Amino acid sequence: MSDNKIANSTIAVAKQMGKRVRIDAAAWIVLGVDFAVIVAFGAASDWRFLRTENLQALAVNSSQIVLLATAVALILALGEIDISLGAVLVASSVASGQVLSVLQVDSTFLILSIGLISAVIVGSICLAVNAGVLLILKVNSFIGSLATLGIFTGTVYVITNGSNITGVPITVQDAFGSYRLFGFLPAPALVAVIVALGAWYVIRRTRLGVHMIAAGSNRDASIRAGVKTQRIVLITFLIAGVIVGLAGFIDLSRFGTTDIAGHQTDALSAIAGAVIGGTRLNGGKVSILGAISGALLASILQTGLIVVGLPSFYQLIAIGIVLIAAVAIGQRRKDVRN
Amino acid sequence: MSALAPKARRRFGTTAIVYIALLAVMIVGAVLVNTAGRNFLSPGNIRDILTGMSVLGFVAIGQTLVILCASLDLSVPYVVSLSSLLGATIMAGNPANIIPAVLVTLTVAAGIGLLIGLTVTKLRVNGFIATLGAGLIIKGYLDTQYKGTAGSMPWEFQLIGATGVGPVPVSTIIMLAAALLVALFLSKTRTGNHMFAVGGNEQVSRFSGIRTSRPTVVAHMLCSVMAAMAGLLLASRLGVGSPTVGTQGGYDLLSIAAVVLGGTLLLGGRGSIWGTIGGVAIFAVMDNVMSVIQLNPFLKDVVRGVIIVAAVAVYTGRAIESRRPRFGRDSQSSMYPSVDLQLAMDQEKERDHEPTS
Repeated sequence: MSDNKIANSTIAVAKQMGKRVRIDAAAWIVLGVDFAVIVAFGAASDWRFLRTENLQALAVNSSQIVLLATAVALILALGEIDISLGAVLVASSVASGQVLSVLQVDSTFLILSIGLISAVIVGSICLAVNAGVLLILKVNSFIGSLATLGIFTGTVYVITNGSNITGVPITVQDAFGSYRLFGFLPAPALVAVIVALGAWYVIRRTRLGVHMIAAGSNRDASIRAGVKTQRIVLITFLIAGVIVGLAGFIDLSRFGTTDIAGHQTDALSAIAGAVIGGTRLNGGKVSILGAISGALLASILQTGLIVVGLPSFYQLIAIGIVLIAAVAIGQRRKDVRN
Repeated sequence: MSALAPKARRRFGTTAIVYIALLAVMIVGAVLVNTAGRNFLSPGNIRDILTGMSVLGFVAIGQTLVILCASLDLSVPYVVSLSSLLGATIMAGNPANIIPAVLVTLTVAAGIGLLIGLTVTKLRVNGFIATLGAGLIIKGYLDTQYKGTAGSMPWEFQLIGATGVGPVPVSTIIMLAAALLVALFLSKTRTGNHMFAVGGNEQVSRFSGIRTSRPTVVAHMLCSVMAAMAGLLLASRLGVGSPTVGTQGGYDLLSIAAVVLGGTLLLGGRGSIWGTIGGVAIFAVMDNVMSVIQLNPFLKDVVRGVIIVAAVAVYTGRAIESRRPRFGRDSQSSMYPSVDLQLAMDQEKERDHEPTS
């Protein structure tokens, strides 16, 4: 490839990025749908759905899936995928719970920081393994994470012998999982929002973000343009690992125990959320706002259907249809533009 | 078309590796089982292994076709559950209903596959997303309609899952017959041949005058039908239909793993049914050995994961080497000097071998 072509492709990437900052249509549409659905459930439930306690519960319930969707959006931006995130979440919550129940420290500060740090460390180790399988062994990230999904899950079951961790100090619930800042803002939801803002900032406003999207749109071109793509992939996976570790700690702190059997479909739900919000599966196009809105849609439908008194399983059917429709429409728009 | 000859040879090569790996796993397994004081080759144990192959075998045969077309099917576990329920509720314990029930179940599955195939080809939704969505929709339907197991299988149908010819279960014979039919379909029919072409490069196939949507649609239909066969077989073993039997088996990821372990390229265009059967057999032997020597059952997932990574790492190395020249990249502008070195060595090796082979 000649220098001219490289320059052209770099300009094209830059141009596309400029466009994307201005019209991130899919994300805003899905966010609008979220609000419309909330209002509709409110009206259908005699405004019970819009009560503060219900909205707080909704925010807490969706904080984990929002974090997972953010993490997976970063990985999808690179054109890679990870279906082991649910297992990583479980692994990090188990690590955190195990450390806390063995150490039995007293101070609130120590409990929160030790718990958080062990969850985050294990989360990033797991994703470092995934990055290693991808970069060193050159195994496709789908198959690699399919294999590590089994490895992480199996390891967790061997360590815990199949039962959930008990004896986690109740402080994690009081001081974090059930804590309401200023009396109304749930701490886990606040963490999710801050992390999402951070991810948005990295993608849109930093060199790392530009390189991530470049590596996702055209790996070969970005290598030739001097981007150290291997390093970018590793850093992105580590960031995702930290985010999933946070989600694992939230999982532990909400109920004071782990939930090792309960997160099997989390990774695919997170991918569905990200894709509904306009993130492309084969890289180069990512929207954090969209990932959050898409992930929220599933939670809103699930909680709302229960409040209204319908079986919550309709949520699955709705999300399935929305998922296919969102991608089909996105594809149509892309065809028109080309 | 000139690329077909070397391609065919390489395909054989990968399948051969799969069966060498299977042999190795069997030898290691036999040693481990014998040290545990049991006989690996006893008729009972062979029957266990073959029984373990049959359900995953059906699903993996279908998954092979879909992956060959560079698509993916994540909806199989839900199709398996749905089919077990449909079969069991329509039969309702009456042997006279067996044939209509099987026909209805397979037709419904083919319809689901048709819709998925059209979503992938006409709406151009990525197969991963289309089947993830389809799976959610079917799961939503199952969860709202069925609270637990339903229907009942007549005794005559339960015999399929329970009897065998010598140590070979009937279900495994049916599965291998299906594999043979699908393998013939791939090699002898036009649509089958086109699956390799479309999966390898859709653009080029279209420019070569292939109707690119038909192979993909047919692959998705056959995949759903195979999943339905697995569902019927499971129902015949359980005696009832169950809404969770597919998800409990984890057949979506397990079948993809078996296909990839069998040497089929996840990116499409290269692979074989017999490789997949070899991959399924490796999983079945591993499962059997690990339960006979009473290994911690939770370690199974770990061992399986390690085997998948190792196998794919080996295949990927080979794929990179054999794919590079098809892009016509000259070594001067290459950014993979090590691969090119490998490639040059390989070509040299091939040249050496050419006269003898």
